[in-house]
Amino acid sequence: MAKRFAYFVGLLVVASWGATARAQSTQFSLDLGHQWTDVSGNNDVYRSQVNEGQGLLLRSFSLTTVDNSDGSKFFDHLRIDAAGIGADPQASFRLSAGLAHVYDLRFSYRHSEFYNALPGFANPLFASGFAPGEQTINRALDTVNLDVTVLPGSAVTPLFGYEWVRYSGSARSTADVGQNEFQLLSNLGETTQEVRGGIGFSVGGFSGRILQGWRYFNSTQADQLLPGAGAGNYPQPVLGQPVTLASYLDRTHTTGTTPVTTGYLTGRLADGVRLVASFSRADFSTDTSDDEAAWGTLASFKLSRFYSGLLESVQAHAESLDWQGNARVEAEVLDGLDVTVGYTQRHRDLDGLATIADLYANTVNFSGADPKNVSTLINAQDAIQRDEKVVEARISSNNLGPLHLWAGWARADQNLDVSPAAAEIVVPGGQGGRFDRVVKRTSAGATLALADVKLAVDWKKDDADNAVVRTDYLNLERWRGRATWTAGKFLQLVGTAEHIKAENPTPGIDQASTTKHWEGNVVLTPVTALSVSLGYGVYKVDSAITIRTPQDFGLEPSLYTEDGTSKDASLTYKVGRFGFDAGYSQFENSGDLALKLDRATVGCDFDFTPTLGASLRFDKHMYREIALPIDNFDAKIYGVFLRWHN
Amino acid sequence: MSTWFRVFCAVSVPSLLAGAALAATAPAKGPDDAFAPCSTCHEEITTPFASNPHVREAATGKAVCEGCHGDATKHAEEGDKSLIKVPAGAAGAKTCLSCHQKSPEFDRAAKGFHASASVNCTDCHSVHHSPATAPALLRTTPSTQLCESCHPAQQNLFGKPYAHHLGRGGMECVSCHNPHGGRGEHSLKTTSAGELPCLSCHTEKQGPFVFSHVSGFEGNCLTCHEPHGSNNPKMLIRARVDQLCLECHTTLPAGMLGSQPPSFHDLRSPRYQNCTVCHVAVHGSNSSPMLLK
Repeated sequence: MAKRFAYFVGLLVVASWGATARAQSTQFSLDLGHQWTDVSGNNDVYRSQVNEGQGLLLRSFSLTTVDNSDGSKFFDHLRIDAAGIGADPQASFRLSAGLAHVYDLRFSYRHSEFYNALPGFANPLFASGFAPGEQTINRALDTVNLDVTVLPGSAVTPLFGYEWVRYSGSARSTADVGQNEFQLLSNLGETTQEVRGGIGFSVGGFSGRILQGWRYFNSTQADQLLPGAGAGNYPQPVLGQPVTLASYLDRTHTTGTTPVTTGYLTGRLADGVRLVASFSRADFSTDTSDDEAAWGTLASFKLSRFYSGLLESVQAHAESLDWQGNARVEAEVLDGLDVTVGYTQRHRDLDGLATIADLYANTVNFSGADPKNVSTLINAQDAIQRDEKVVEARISSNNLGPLHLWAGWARADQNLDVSPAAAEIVVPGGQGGRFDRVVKRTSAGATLALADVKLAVDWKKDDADNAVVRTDYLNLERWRGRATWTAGKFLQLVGTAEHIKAENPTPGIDQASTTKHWEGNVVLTPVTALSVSLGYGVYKVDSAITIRTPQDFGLEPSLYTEDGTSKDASLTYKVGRFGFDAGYSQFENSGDLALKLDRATVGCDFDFTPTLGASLRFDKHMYREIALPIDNFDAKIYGVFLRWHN
Repeated sequence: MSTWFRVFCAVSVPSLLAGAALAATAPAKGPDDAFAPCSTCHEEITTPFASNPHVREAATGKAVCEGCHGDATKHAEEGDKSLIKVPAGAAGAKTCLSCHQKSPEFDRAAKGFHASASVNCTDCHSVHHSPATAPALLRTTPSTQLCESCHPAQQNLFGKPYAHHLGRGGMECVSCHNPHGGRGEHSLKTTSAGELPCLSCHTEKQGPFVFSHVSGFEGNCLTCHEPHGSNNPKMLIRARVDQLCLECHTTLPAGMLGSQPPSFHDLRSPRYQNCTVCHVAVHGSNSSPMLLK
């Protein structure tokens, strides 16, 4: 890792020197150093939330070079950005280059590490001191993107793109086998690639783009029994027999191919009238094979038998056609009065087919008699289709000086057809059928822009005639407002407010939820060198919906509340070669999942020369959970960095 | 498919090679003349502008300044500020969009909120005075700072304990949102196949699955998850998993999709309060009708 880090940083330094020497105009900055972490308390929760690492770190690199001079060259502009390379599990690298009217190239690479291991999540054994929970993730995501435009600005522009996404690593999971749950060690390797090509065009007042792509998906997941987990979560016997696993192996392989077509067209139909149309079509399909082998002492209530082995083989095929088209006309019907009318149609369908063959080995009935192997075969076939048609209209006025008014109306007709496989149904009712929903939306807004004051307010109201799933609202209303006052460079005040209310009063659902969010920020800049920022926010959620508890069929409200406040303050000071910044923020929630999170950061920079300097960083995170103090952690992050720039 | 792929390669590889060859022998440009006559009086603007992306239009022989400011002849003669077009405000946005709205990324820019009297192109972009390190001629860098200046409430959601790592690993507001107006609500970007941007990273949840959780059709990722930040470790919109599941999976009233109860599970037992311990494939499965693997 250190070797690769050194090579990478060396390459960037050489690129900086090379570009500086050759190009007309080059700006670069490099921030390189070492970072240390000191975590006390729950390191798993720290990694799940913050996950900053320790070691060499290229905190940031930026190189911009432009060369409009005479002579042959491969690019007239080049930009490279890199951040988080080394100790930070979140890293990125971007490169864009081009030559006017010849080509444009964009390349990006991202690396993200996903770590999640929490004591209280997916953990039925928490009360007995088991931690972290049974589902944890320690995986990495790597993404590469390349887009090339040839002859940009020409009447016809070839376009090419490539995307590569790799998601891989280990995890802990669980398997439900033989009336017990067992912990698994899971390894996933998954690659998604997409190649695409097409043309952009700009002819006769119309321009657009047609792209054809192919997405290839390949995934292999292997799960095995976690060493020592053979007793399962529940060592109590089932009908007098303990349910245990001696071994468990499951291997799933999925491949998929998806041709994707997208098109876009825009152009002027007449004076003040513009047409915009777009279309996309994706024909997804996946093929899966899954082989599972479980051996131990197991029980099945479905078969009313004990058994010692389960061999399951699954062959599955899923297809999904997804397309959507949109066309709208934007017209200036009167001076300063714009009207937009649009129509969108979306379609998605799914056809799934799975053959699930099970062999239960060495079974006996619950009395211990009738030994035999039992085979079962399930051919499951299901289908879902969803269609949506949306008509929308919007009118806006923009010749009222600083005032801008708009109003909109839309109607969405949604239809859903679900045909579930019999294997998906335990208790009949609510699994399939046709579900229709019409949502009508009315919206309006106004903005006022004066010299020092900007005000904006918007309102939206949705009325639905039906709910498809229980959490669908019948009525939703949202208000948003924003005010900004600027007093030169000395003071800026920003206030925002958002209220959302959604409900479905249907008896038996009784859904009502409100979200309120206010925020205020003040930025003071008494002198150019000094800036102080203060912020305060309030976040409240109240949600209620009636549920039926399955154990006694009783009714009770499912309640969820958030009552959060956030405070933050920051200061930056820069004079001559010296710079200083400090910040503090606190987030506190006294609703469900009550917690308090404090963050502090301090940094100072000093330039030894006009191009070379150093910076020191210190960050602190303090996390406290009221109900689960085992989650708490304190983390300190120190860093020393060298800064080189021109 | 393979035929299409061969056609794709047959077209793309020669085109890329041709592009590279053209690049190596590109004709020289003469930007010095491109600023005339403006550079006579506005040298402090035109000199640094030589490295501006807009100057690349000079290769076509156009006077760079005229592209946005119009014919400057009278203004140059009389020095009257009113005789030159200065794109600003909502009207100024039209100048920018006359070139930029040709691509789908600017599909809704002309009629979106970010092209109003209150917010428009020049609030975020500075054609003349952008810092050299700022991409896309943004006024400040990183770009998230610009978003936060008007959306402090959203910024604070990222302050919750479980959140996307904004500002790290290339994660920015614009990773998911198109500030120029996306097709969907909240100006969300979509993948090339029209999916929510969540699936561009969380590819294992793309599907399609034989046994799809219906939220993939009726609703979407945001039905269960808080995208910015959450107090819940899986960024769920409820405190507990069973609470989230039961709000749909309750037999009240009949006839709603997914209202089947979760069997006879006794939710007083911790075993059944953690639905995903057994229903691990909650986003969809190709192997298990009950989403057990």
